[in-house]
Amino acid sequence: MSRKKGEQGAKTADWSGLDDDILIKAFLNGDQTAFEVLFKKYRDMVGRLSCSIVKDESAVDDIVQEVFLLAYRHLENFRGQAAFKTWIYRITVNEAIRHKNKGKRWQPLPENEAEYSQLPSTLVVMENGKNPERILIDGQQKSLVHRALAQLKEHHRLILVLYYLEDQSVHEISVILQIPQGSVKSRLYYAREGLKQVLAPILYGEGHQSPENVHAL
Amino acid sequence: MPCDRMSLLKRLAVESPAQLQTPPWQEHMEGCGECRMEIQLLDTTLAVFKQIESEGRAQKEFGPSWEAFTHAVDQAETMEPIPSHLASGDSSAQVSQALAQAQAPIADQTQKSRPNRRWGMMASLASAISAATVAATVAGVMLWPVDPLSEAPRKEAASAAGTERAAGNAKSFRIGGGFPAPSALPQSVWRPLLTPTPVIRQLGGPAPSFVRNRWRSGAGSHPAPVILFRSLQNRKSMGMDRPALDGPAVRVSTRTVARPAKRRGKVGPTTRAVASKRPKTAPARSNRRPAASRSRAKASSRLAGGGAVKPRVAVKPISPIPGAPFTPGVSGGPPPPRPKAEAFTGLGPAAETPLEKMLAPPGEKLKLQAMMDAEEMAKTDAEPKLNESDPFPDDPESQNDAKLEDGLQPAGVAP
Repeated sequence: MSRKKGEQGAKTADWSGLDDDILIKAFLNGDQTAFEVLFKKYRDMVGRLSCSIVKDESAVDDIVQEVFLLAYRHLENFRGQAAFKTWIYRITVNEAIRHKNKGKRWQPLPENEAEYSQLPSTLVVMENGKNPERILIDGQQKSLVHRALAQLKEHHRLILVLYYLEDQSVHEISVILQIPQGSVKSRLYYAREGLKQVLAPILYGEGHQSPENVHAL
Repeated sequence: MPCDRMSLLKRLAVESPAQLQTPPWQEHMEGCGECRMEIQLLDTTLAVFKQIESEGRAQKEFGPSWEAFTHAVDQAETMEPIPSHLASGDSSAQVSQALAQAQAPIADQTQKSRPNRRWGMMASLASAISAATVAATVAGVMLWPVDPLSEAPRKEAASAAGTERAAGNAKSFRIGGGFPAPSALPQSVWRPLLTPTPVIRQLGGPAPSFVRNRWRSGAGSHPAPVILFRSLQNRKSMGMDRPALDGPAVRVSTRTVARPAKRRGKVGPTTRAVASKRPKTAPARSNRRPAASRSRAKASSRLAGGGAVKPRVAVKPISPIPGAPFTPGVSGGPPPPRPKAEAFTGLGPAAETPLEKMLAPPGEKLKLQAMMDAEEMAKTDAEPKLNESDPFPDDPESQNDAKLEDGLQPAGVAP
């Protein structure tokens, strides 16, 4: 994989607008620049997804490297039935889960339990009228939310990340996770329910019967 | 009474939230506070989730650079084939050259790569370990003829290597903790480490609790206890005392027991490790000789020539009287004390006999004489004949014996 850097940079810039299929064919024909274009195109996406799964930024580089190493070695086995993005998502999910199962757990919570005693029991959610998207949470309250989100099941978190953050469709998620589309919808439903159950007590207090009780500004 | 449209509303909120913006649903939610509250809850929690997750993902750049990736690919490609120079080699110079070449990528990697490239580091380390293993194997085959049936204990083998440090090196060599010079290790030291053999029986020490639990739970044979006990055996060979392990003494025996027929088609005995507790009152079983005897054996082996191990000689005393049973001492009791060398008086054998033996009854005299003869025979057979001089020059007891032979008064004895 050693090439001259000048030619490489110009060629990469020229090829950045090409489709993935063309780049894959070029790489399989022996052009290493095509894989470099693919690498730069999907590196951040793979990194973000793996960061969402493992919750350990120090492990992201290793996972990204391992994902593209696998893709580099096995790209000839890519049959083109799904998009390259979906294929590399699948590798990323596998690698991230494998890396996480090796014992590296996300520890987003403060180690000292005394810090929690200082946190407010209920967040002050600042809503702007009918638009709940605008929610401001300060740094101290984030720890409380992190603690609640840590209670979410792993497959629920993964499907929420893929659907709402990575903007993958139900069909793409079914390909990535190798489950039927109905299962994807079912998991999405229960993931939203789980999210509501873990966050509602923090957002609206223990008796979260009425969102109107929210401290709105 | 929950709203009958609640479940449909939840499903639409997940699958197609745009439909909830249509006029019929808007009208319904204006009139139904429960549905409105549910939608607000779902939207708010999702918004919080998105915000928290996107903050963690808002990092500037993820993943390694392309240069680091190409370097990792090169490392992975060079790690796979076995170096050809390791396939044939017949001298330690080639072995050391192979070791140097195997370790070179590590230094290269640390200079070139970014500090967070752990994968490349691990790949280089694995490459170095595998290459060193192959190199040591080649060296072992070339330098020391293979004797697979050799059952020499590693303690003796470590002594034969000239230093007990070799045993420690062998251990670290096994677990990848270091690379000893292969020429300093005989094959009998490191070769048993590469082949799993049951050594649990030879040790007799108490097993740690997690090993006992594993055996009790019927986990069967597992490589971990073997490795553990090898390390314990290694401690012994390094001259350390009994392993300091807490807990009750457990004697482990591997025997064939019948498995209960839980599964169909799995009928027949299987080998399982069974742990049985020894009573706490029983003394700990040890195959080691007393400390004084060990030190004598060491001194003797040193004098015999460069760490050669003193051979064990089985001495079976024979009674000179046909049909008479030979009873050197009380059955089951300690053996009789070894007679010391007496001073030469020139009065014949009767004068050299100790006084208590002379005062013994006539029937016993014959037995005592036979016993002394047998012990003399045993002593001449068991003692190494390489050095006829005093084998224990530092032993005060032996010095006293020498002084007695010279007619001098031994130290510490009143005239």
